[in-house]
Amino acid sequence: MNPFKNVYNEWVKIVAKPRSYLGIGAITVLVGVIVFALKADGLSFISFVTASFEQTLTFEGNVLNGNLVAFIVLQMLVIHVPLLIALITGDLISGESAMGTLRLLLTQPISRSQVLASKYIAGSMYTALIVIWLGILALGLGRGFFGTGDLMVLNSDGLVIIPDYDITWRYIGAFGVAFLALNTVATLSIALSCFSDNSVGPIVATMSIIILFTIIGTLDVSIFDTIRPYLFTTHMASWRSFFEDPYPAQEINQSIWVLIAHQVFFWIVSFIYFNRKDITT
Amino acid sequence: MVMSTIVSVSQLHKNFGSFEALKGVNFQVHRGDIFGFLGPNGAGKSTTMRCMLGLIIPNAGEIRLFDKDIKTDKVEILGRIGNIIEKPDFYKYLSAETNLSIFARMANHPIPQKKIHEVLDFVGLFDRRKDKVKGYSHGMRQRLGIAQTLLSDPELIVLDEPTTGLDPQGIIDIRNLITRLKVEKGKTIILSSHQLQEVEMIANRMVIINKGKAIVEGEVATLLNSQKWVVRMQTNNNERLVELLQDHFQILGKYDDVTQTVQFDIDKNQVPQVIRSCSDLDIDIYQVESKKQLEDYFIQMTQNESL
Repeated sequence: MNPFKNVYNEWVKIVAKPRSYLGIGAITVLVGVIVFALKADGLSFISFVTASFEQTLTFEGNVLNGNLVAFIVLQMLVIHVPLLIALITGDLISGESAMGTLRLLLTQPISRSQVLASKYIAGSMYTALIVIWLGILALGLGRGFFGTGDLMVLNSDGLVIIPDYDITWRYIGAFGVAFLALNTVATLSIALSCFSDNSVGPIVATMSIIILFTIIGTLDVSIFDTIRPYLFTTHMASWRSFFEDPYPAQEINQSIWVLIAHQVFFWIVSFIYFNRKDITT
Repeated sequence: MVMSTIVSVSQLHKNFGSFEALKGVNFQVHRGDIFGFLGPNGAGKSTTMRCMLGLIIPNAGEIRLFDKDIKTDKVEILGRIGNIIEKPDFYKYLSAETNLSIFARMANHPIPQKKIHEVLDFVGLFDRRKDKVKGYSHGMRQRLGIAQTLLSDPELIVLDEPTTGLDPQGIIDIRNLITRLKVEKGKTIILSSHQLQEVEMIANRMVIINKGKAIVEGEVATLLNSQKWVVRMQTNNNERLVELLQDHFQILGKYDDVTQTVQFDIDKNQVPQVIRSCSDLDIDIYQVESKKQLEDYFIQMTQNESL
């Protein structure tokens, strides 16, 4: 069997589900609200951020531009998008189990590994669609309403100003790493989905793991120092590193490898379990 | 005529934790059979069927279909089987046609759109093919399930309780469809059902499973004829009839208050003698049911096993 046919099957199912549009709709509304708020009162917001620098620096030109708006949007939403992703991907196996279609699916002339691989690929495609839509909205609406200009980013090290001509590749890289981070969430939720026969469990479990790991990552307790660099949640905000100057390539590479390692781990666990699972429901 | 065996199950064992669901099930299905798969609830029928389809991995034993082992050649075997396990669940948010397109794309050979229309027409759902499955009645979903089993033109069709939950007309529709599958399309069918009368009407061979073991297997007609008949008689003097059976035939008759009948097991050729004796003793007979029925046989076999 052509493996792409089954990926297409999975895509047809995702596209036909009303809940798949929940994420896209929620992102559209949220970005719209943020852009509207910044358009209405963005300068106050900017002056609040830059107040501490105003005695030593003078800001000229279009500070509140599309690039900054896109950065603010990304910063606000990347934290919340995992829930929207898990809502779909956490349902891919367990939803079929709850609906009873898993029985029919696994008695077709196709291996369980192929079924699972198709679901992973379709889940990644959906994640990519969400990230691309987020990018189009953030940059498109931002630049459409606020124009372009140099990007001013406030990091823990201080204020970084990135010239307009040097921004596009950084956004491409940032969205790429954001996709990788969100795809790790998708992979986790699909893996959890193999262990459950209802849709809610894997979604709640995914979010619980993210919250737990985030708390461990942010708690300033030395006992967690050794594991913190290996938690995928530590690297979910690595897209921000693309907006540092100089660009910390090694740090980003490390994040990419940690995220990929997590995905591989989740794949292996789910493939082993799913191939041995008795379908009794 | 030598019958070719297309399903051979031997010494099948399956445990769920400490519960032993299958304790060495054995049976064979021949090409062209409508094979009845009988057993009380929890006997192990569904577990056996799921093992045959690779949904459950047995702890021990061998399942060979088309002379291939399900463990090693699962994908190839499944390409030659259509099935409905328990109830045919489909993607309710998709139309019947889209559902079948999904399963058609998973087949191990190309299935044209024409074939999808053909199977929908066979089960009488062609005109409703664009409707979402969520709007289908239970009977329509069962028929769609049968359409799905026919998509890849399988040699063997496994139907687990295909008439459960259907109204009388739905049961007749599905029964007719199963008979047509055998007669018009020459399919081999394994049919599990609680409707014993239905199995009796359409199956030519059967196995009875109880407590995880196959307790009897063979031709339905032969099995029924090999056993004593169960006779139910209603007379104007049932007490006398019980005495008659005891004194002249050494048979224990049981009086049933509800049906007001005397029931007893007897050799087929002794039935006329009983009737003649009743006549000699002026016992008026209102009703005699002397046909050996699968239901009686099933109860007899499963109860014997329970003792």
